[in-house]
Amino acid sequence: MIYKKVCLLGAPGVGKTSLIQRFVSGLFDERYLVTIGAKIDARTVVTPSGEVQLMLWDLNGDEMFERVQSSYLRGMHGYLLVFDPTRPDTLEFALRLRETVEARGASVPSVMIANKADLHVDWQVSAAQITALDVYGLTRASAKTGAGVEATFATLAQLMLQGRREE
Amino acid sequence: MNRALPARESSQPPEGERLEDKQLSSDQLEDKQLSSDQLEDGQLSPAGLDELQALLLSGERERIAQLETLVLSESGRTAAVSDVLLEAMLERAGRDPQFARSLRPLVEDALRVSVKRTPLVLAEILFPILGPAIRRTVAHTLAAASASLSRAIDQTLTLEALRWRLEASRTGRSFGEIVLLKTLEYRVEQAYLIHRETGLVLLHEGVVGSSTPDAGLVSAMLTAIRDFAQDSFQTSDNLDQFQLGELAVHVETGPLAVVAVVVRGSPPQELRDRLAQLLEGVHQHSNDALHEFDGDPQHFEITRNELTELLVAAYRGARAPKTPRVTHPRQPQRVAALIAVIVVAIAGVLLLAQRERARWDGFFAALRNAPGIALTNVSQQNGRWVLEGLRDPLGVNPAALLEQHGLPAAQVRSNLRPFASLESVFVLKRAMIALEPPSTVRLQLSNDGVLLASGSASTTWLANAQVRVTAIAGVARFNLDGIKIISARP
Repeated sequence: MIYKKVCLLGAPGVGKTSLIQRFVSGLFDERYLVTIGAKIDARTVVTPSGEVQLMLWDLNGDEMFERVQSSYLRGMHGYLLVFDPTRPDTLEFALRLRETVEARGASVPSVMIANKADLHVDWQVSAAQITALDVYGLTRASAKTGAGVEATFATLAQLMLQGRREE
Repeated sequence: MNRALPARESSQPPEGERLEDKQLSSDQLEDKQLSSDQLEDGQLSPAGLDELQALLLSGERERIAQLETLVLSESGRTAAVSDVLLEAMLERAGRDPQFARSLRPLVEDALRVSVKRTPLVLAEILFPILGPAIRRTVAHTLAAASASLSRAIDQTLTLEALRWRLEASRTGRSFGEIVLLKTLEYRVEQAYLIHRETGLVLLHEGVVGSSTPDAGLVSAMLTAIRDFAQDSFQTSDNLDQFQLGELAVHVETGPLAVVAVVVRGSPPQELRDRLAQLLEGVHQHSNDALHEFDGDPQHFEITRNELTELLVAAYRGARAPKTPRVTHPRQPQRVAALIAVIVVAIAGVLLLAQRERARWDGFFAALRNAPGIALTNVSQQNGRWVLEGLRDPLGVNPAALLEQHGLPAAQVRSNLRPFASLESVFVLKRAMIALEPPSTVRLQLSNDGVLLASGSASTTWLANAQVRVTAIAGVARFNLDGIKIISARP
């Protein structure tokens, strides 16, 4: 079994914990629970390159920039960058976060997620902006309905295993 | 031109160093036209040959001289190698893991020489590393000593401690040693080898029967907790132990890997030493694998046996592995039986003593209450009771009283001094003895000391009695009004 450390990054309330809960347990909780410190879950994913167990580090969004500086991200093999298109500021937050991580020298595979796809009508981010994000491997997902969640995690797992093979 | 060949061959560079063949251009040959006097019968004179050689080979000779300087002189070789030494080492190290291993003996020798000649230099370099390491070791040792001391104090006054004391005296060991031996009661239930940077589990082993949570999650969460502690308290020290009720997690941290064990009970310091040894071994034989770890823990299977060996248990009353003078396993039961016998014997002795004491108390009470005896003091001298006070000779004999109470007369010495009791019964007794009344006379004593005689008596007896009565202590007056005089028989 191959293990990979995956961190979920993003502004507070964008749905990082919900995405993990949906992916790991198949559940969704309407309540918003603030993540304190870090919470870790695990799930095995089967990809064309083989089986991999993802260790999912769910980090507190409030202190995200501090966390980037901290040891939580140390050694991660990949990360999911989550934002909420109904709140454009979370996209800015995500992009700044990405820059910070890259500047820190963490050159690892990542996937950007536009969560809350079920609330598409309420999206405040323009189509042009969304299209521009394709360079970051943007996927659309909804932790509430489960749409796109499996595929997003599978994509990241595949990217990480490809990176391993290329090495 | 055949003659020129040997000269050309002799000017070739030494073996192993090749010079580019140099071709003279036609222009150069034209420039080097020979004059007619250098030719003899169409052949070159020796002088001409020399000149020709000089003309043809001057460039090569210069280059050969340069190369000789470079290759044959020590300074030349040093300068050439120094130019590329670092790059060469880095390149070789990058493609050949053997390179670092080859350097090891050299580095070790260099360090040995350095320590021998200038130990102060290495001491200064190592001081920042050794300082914290020593502090940690001392802290661990103190913590272990403190824990065992607390336990010893806690258990000093228990039945168990009494049993341990007996064992200590029986086996000739110190009580502390026995306590230490008995407190080695722990079980290592889980052991994890964790990649330090990623927090991913490299290996996990758990004892059968213990709860075995997802090793990957435990490993990651453990890493997160330690990271959190480090970040929160802004310290470079590691969280190396924490307690969860009966369970304790002990963590040993290395530069690239971490080994953690979940222990139920109180493990000895030796366990931590074993963790450190395992970790050192992993860093030694799997250094490259730790550096290059990308999520596949397959390589670390070679350490599984060592990790399994950490899962040890020490139960209460179990033999210590390094104490040859251990007692027989059934010894505790024998000790318990011995204690029971001793306790019963002591209880029996106490019971007997109490019963004898009660008999003595009964005797003394009877003596105090006996008429005609005034006991002023009872003491013990040389194992015998000494009685002091007064005793009317007509009163109870202490020896008879002792016999009544079943006590040996030999254990009592009587210092009772005689006296005349004024109790009516004794006064009456004395009157009966002194007056010797005939059977027809009845004597009575009133409360105010009046001796009343009634009945019939002879005048002779009356006369004697009136005289004798005066000598009887306790008789204030003699009343003969109740006596009917009978005349003496003819």
